[in-house]
Amino acid sequence: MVDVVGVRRYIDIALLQDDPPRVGDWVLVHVGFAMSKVSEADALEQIRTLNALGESELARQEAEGYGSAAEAVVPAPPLAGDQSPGPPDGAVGGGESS
Amino acid sequence: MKFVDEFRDAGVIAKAVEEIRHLAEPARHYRFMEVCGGHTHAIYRFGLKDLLPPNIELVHGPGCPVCVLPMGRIDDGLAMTDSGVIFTAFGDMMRVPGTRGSPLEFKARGADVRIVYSPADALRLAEKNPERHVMFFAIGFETTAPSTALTLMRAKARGIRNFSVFCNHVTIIPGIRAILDSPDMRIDAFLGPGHVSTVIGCRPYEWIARNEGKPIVVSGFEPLDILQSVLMLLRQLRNGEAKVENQYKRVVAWEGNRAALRAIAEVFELRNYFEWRGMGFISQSALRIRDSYAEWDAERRFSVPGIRVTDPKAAQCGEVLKGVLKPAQCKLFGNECTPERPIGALMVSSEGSCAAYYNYEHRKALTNIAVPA
Repeated sequence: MVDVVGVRRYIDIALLQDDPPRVGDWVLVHVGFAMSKVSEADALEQIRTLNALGESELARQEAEGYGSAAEAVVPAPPLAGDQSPGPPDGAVGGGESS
Repeated sequence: MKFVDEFRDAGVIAKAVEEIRHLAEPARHYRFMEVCGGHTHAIYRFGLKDLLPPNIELVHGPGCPVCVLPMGRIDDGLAMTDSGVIFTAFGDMMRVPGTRGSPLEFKARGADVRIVYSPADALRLAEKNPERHVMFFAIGFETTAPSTALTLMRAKARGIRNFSVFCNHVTIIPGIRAILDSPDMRIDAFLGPGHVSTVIGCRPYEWIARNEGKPIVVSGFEPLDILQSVLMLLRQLRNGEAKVENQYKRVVAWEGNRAALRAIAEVFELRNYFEWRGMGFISQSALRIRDSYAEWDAERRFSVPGIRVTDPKAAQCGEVLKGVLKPAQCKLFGNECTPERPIGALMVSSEGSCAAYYNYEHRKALTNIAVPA
């Protein structure tokens, strides 16, 4: 039984027989069959990578010598580093619904 | 919703776009093909085209199952309704025009045509109606083929003999190869299909990188998935690399889904050739039902006329399908051919580039005309 945006449906999980899902797992469903389990670890890592896009921008600006004062760049990375793990974890916790 | 909102975050999208603008060399024109119709739909729906710099062109690929199905196969499938079968198919097949009408028009004329959500639902219908024959019109790439295969395995195991499948499953790799072999095609890199890859994994694309020297990134379907994939392609091109990368790791395993591949191998074998709409006959590009499942093969149980129909001359579905023409460049687009009265299949399926373009771009343009600033 899966919950698809509030609609409950029986789905077939035989295609996941090599790595069966458990209650509470998220799965990708296509035409009534579960095709793949959604990996929370990979999703979080991807969100982290995406959130780090701005940081690499700062790093690049630093490498390219953008802005003469080094101290203008130095405080930024730890700040961005503190922020980036925050929103995804919070969002995932809030998004749990099954 | 989990893992949806995060991939639509406006702030992060702005950062990704900024990075893309930084990486794209202004003097260069990039042509990236999104193979999958799901990507085409997402690109229009979220207006991603407008976010990208103008020198990054997204070319729509052949990965829309309804779109590549030749009209003759629809006629063949519908011909079976003459012998009183219950014709079942997914909803997106229902308005696809055949020579004598669409499945929906057949229904209006009295044929027993029903929409199913899953091939398993069609099998259940057969179990509930033992006095009738239920035919499932199977369509789709490797994403859908395992579900059809498993349904046939169940039918055989339970001895349900009033059920059959009209198999139109196609395989994605020969389609990509045909695009690359096409002389009028110039593609710099590929966004690989996300859902097909949950089944086949990433290895089948390695020849594209190795032999053709084109980067390919298997991509998810949210705005940030697609933007991140574009970024990954740009990075490869900047570094002079060509490799297969998996952006959609949260769903796609590098090796694919072995259980799904086993089910496909149990029930199906490759056809020597199959016709793709607009692209002609492509060798070893489709699946047929093995002899061991012949009893459930509609093509063998019913006399299939084997109808071949040439597409309307004026419609340029083939050129659009191969990415040579943009939807609006077709002479029929928006005039004779609309989602309400489609002439070509690209205008029917929500994954078809013409329908996506019509629903999101064309309407926007019309609104702009109607309300002058």
